[in-house]
Amino acid sequence: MSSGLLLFILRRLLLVPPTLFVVLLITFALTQIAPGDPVRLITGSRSPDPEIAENIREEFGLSGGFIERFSDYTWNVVSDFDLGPSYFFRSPQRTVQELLGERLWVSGQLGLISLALIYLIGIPLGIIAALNRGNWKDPGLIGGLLVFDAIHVIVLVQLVMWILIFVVDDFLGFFGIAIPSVWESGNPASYVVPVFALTAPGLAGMARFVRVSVLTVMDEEYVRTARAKGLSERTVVIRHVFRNAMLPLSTFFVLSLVGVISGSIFVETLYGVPGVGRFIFDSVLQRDFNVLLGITLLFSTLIVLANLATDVLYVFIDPRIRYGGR
Amino acid sequence: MASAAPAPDVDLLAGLELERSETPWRRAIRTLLRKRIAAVAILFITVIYGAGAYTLLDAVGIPTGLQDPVATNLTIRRPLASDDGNVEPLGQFAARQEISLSELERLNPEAAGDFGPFRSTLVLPERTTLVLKEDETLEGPSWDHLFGTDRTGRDLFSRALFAARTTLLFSVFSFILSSLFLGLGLGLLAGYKGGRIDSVIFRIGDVFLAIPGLLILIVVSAALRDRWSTWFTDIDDWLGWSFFIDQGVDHITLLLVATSFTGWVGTARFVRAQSLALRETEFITAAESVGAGTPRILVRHLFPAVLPWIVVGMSASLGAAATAEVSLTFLGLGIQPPTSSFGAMIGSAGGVTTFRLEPHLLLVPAVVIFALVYSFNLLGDAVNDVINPRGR
Repeated sequence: MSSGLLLFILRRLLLVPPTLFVVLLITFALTQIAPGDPVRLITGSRSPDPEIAENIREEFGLSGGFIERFSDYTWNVVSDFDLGPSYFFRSPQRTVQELLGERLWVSGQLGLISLALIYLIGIPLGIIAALNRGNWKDPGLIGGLLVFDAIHVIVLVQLVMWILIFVVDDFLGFFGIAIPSVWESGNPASYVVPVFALTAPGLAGMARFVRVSVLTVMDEEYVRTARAKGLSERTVVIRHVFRNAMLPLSTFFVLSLVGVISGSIFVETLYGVPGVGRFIFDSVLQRDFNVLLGITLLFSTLIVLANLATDVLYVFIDPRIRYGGR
Repeated sequence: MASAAPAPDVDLLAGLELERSETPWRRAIRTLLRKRIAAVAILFITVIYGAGAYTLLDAVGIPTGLQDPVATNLTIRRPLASDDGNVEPLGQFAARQEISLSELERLNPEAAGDFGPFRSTLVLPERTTLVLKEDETLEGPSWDHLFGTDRTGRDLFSRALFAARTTLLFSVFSFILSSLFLGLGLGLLAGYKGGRIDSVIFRIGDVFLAIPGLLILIVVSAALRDRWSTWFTDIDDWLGWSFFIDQGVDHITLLLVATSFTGWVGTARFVRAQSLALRETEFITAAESVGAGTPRILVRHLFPAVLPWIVVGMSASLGAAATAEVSLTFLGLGIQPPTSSFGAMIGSAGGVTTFRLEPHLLLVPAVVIFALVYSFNLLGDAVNDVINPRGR
């Protein structure tokens, strides 16, 4: 590994903490302007006993000025991943990180499966579209995939549920498959609806990205050279086009990730999946701003790290890129 | 000067095809309209936005003939007593309610058995309730209600039109605020000025890109909501009217603020890249050399040059705004009742059983919003092809 590359990684790595710090600052400030006094939210009373109010402020780290509270919160997050107490889950008092921990596994599973499927299905479809440039299959394919992107996720989930549970249920039953109408943990058939609703909207973006990438490579001179050498079209596509067209794909990962995270809020809520997406919906209703703050921080960290990883990965896959000092 | 110049010899030019020079804009629009898909997309968008704009006629006093999107057509039961509390005869009651006795009988089959032959002078026991109006909830499509009615008997056709108005106002203002004002302004400034201004603007942009867009929308609107409404109530009180709250201005402006928080980054990034390249071109150097200041160069020289790219982004940005409205309203953070919006219609349709029992509740808003977003997607692709043909 060249020293230039190492320096590049180091420089990118150094940018991570300040970015996350500003994310935290903005989100924290927003939750502080949130309506009135969180004490009122917690006690549920308009004029709580001053002594109780003081105790609660102390317990939730709400006493003191903004800078003091912010530095306390930041210190707790950095020193031992403490995201503070939940405003809503009070008896017994739960911390945000506990609540998130219980919900991460199922959301992580759904997210990873969907991301994998977006790549596994999106890439071949994009290549097919690119190879059919000029005939009806290309716009037909992309236009068809865009349908899933344009249907709002809220409607898509309900449409998929209606089709799987009420329309083709007899057909599925013939194969011994019964799609439950709400999430049942431990039932593999429960995965069908959420995974479909998280995957389908992402396919269009992926396929379009691959298509453009493939078409760009096809215009390259080395592809013309390969054809001129008399290589079969198959070999040209697989050996020369495909491998080079896949290089920029790592940069698409973060976009897909953001899409899956946003989609999960609606998919999990509508299908009753006890995951992080559902938790966002609940926390909005319960005005549990500490939870919203924690989730924002968690997802931002995920995205920043994913960005870093794709940048570094890109340098590794594509030897043409040099990151020296600019 | 035409009089001074000798008239061209017509015979000399006869063999040539005279072509009127076309501006690039006109040519782009012509090429775009020649694409069938783009033309259909523009048609759909025009119809939906036009429907929204049509309801605005009501606001300026021109009758639109639309039904009230807010008033419900639920069964109304009234205790049979006059306003002063005295029990009145049935005939008098019916006259006061502007309903015929036979209609009253038809709507109240059980009570009609007691009406007897002297029904108009009949005095029914105090606190008897009578149905006065036909229940119009959950009707399917008919001539009276083109798209049917919802659970509280509201006409879905007029609700859809008023929802289109919400979408129209929100998307257009959101485009102006986040793309034109913030995105274009900050992008041009960063690209032309460079240096510290550039890095400050884009450090902030990077931070916003690190938070999933929907999540920041949620946090911003959840945090500001109550205060926002309080401010508008105060303004209303101060002005002595209730326009802002009645028209839901508070919710729509909050939605605008929330989307503009992150909406500018994409446009600004793009504009910056363009103006970085343009900065080095001769026409900017020429402008600088004759002493044009930064504002003048930004507005008169750079702005027209990057405008086509803003138009490309417009399609995506308007579609995204329509989607964001649905998302946030579903989460209870966007448009609030009684203002009609597609998000509210989709949210209140609710549940998978809707598709089986009352499909029109979900289909009406879902199909319209789908047609709008899909059209914007296709139009965006087509415009991109026209302006940037190499990407094909």
